Amino acid sequence: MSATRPISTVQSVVNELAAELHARSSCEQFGLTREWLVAILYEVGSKSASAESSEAEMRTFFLALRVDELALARACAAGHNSAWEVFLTRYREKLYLAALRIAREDSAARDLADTLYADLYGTNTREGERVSKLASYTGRGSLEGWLRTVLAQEYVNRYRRTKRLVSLDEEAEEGAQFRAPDPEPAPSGDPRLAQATDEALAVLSAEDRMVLSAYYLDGRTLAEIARMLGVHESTISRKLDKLARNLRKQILAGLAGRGMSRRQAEEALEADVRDLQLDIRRSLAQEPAAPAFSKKRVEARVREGPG
Amino acid sequence: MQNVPQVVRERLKATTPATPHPDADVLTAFAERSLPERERSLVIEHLARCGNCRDVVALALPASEDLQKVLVPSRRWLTWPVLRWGLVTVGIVAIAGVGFLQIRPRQAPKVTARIELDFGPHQSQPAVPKASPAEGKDESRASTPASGNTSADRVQPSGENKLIGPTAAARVFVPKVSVPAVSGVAGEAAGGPVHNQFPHGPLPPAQWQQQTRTPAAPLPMGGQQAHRPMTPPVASETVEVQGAAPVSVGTEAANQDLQLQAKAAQPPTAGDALGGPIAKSKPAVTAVGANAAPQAAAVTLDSGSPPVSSSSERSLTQFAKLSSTSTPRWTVSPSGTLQRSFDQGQTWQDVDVNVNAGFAQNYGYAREEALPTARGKEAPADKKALKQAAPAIVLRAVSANGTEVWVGGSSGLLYHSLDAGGHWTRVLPLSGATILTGDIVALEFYDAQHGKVTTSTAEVWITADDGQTWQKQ
Repeated sequence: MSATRPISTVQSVVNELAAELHARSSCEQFGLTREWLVAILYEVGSKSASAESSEAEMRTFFLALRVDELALARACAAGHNSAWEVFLTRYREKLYLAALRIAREDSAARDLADTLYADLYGTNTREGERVSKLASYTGRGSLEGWLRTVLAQEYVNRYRRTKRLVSLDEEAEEGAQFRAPDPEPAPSGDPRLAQATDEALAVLSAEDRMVLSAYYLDGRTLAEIARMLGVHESTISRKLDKLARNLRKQILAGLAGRGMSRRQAEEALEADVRDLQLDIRRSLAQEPAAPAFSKKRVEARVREGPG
Repeated sequence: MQNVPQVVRERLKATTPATPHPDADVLTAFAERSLPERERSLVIEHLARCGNCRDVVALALPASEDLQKVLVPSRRWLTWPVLRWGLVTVGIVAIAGVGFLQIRPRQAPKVTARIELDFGPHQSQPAVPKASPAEGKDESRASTPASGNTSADRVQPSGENKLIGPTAAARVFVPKVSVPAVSGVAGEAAGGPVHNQFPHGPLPPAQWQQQTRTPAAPLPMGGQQAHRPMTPPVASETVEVQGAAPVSVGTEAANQDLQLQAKAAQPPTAGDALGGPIAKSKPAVTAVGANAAPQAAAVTLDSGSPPVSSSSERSLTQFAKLSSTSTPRWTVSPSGTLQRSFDQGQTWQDVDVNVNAGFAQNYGYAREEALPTARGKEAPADKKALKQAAPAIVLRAVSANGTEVWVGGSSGLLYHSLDAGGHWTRVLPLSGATILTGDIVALEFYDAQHGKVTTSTAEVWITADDGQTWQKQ
């Protein structure tokens, strides 16, 4: 029962920091008590604490929490009108602006924002009790950031990896090929190529792979990737250059190790890989979840047919 | 950027995520860099394999300016930008210093010239020449101190028009002051304070008082005006001026104008020396324009300002040349880049607004001040730590008035240049607590001061002071 240890650590740390955190949270303005806050902190701590968290780590964790925003969010979730008013004043416009930035189009943005509002307000009920999404906010990030993230998640769920491709026409222009999922196995290139590539990728750090994926698969700009990681754009640019160069070398070496001559290896790499695109739709789904196809795509598929 | 072999893309796609999706809180904390190292690596590992979560993180990124405030500052990453701007500042100061040194010797003989520099703190410097347009000269100078004061008073109120006052969100201009001061001249008594580019420079304060010197010494015409259209706002200068000094430039400029013409003085100038630093400072540019528009606070750069042309212009660098020669034409390409043509449209060159945008920031222009932080508080922009990465710029609308150009595009990007595209400042219209973030689709500047910005969501933002303050309709 390792669960008991961390829980009591959480408890003790919470009790220790209760006064300070309570002062910071200013939850009194909503008429909420310290006990109420403590209960919330406890819940947050238990959720995020892992068995190995030391007391010092827990303390750092709690002190880094945005307790004031946490208090506001939870007060809203609990249905306190004064809290809700404050929330609306501060975040309503930002929410809409963020939705606009994400959806890039007015009506889609409004739709997105409204859906989120409904969730936040707690129009959903579960067993008769109002459930607000704000109850899942734990204060680890800023509330504004959390709102943006939730909006983004909602957007991605709805439009599933359309990324920048909003209209069907754009997608067609970009050269994506719409095909029905192929039942036949993908035409395989030399399996050694795939193996050597996997090997080369495996030795890369997670961050490198993430940058590669974001740039080459998602089509993110250097600036976006840099901001995602909190580094300077030039760092990402250099990193990508280095990675691209090294990958090629590594793959060639891997192929040579598998018995290919240098020439063969280079040819294999340069091979016209348009064939491989047949496999795109299949391997596009990195996630096992079934993609939600929008009507447009279904129609497109029907139209394109097996062509 | 080198490409990777296609097979790499294929294999990257084929990986499957090992860990469950982090929830919104964790992703937010990740983006804001407030996750402990251990958790951060776990999240990155997941992101390396999960395209959906990568999309979420990318979509949830705030506008770049806000990012600065929300991120837990990481010392490591701030050093380079800080260092970079520090070096630039040092460079500018060095060049300005050199320029100044070149000016000084020339001023020696013209001691009589009085150069007034209303540089912010010295706002009250009497000598605000002016007052007497044209004829003024000697006699008027005679009563320098007195008139100086009165004119200073007189000027003050009009100074208010000048918008230099710092308003939250207003941009900070270096007082284009200098111009008036200098030209005033004629007969100014007293060599007046040398054209001091650096208010806190080596000049003894006494020099500022020289107006009292007998007006009698009529400077044979202005020659002495050390007309230094000073506006050598060097980075450091600019900083102090912020907010201070309503440089009553406008009115003074008006007067100056007349006097200038009367004088035909030759600004001894170190104009060339000034050329250096001046070239880099927007204010300089505007100052010149100011002369032409004798309206209170008219700081426009009007290409049609030939009168000013007199010496002051000439000394002023390419800006001057720019205004007297061809004014470029502007357009926005279908792909969203800004282009300009100096030959009436026969050939076009791309103009990168980001090239010098940072430069202006270095001067403390900080036109992006007072953005509300994530918590809704107003915080002054950190001049040095402004956006690390330039956003992708897609421009859609451009409006030019002589050498003053406004260009706007996606995500509320709005740039302003006073020297026909040599230098740009990013402008963030702020009305109340709202920032303009929509895609700008139309820009109309009816004159130097009044403009209207329209966004794709049919928002209309109006300015009546050349972009310093805005109202959203």
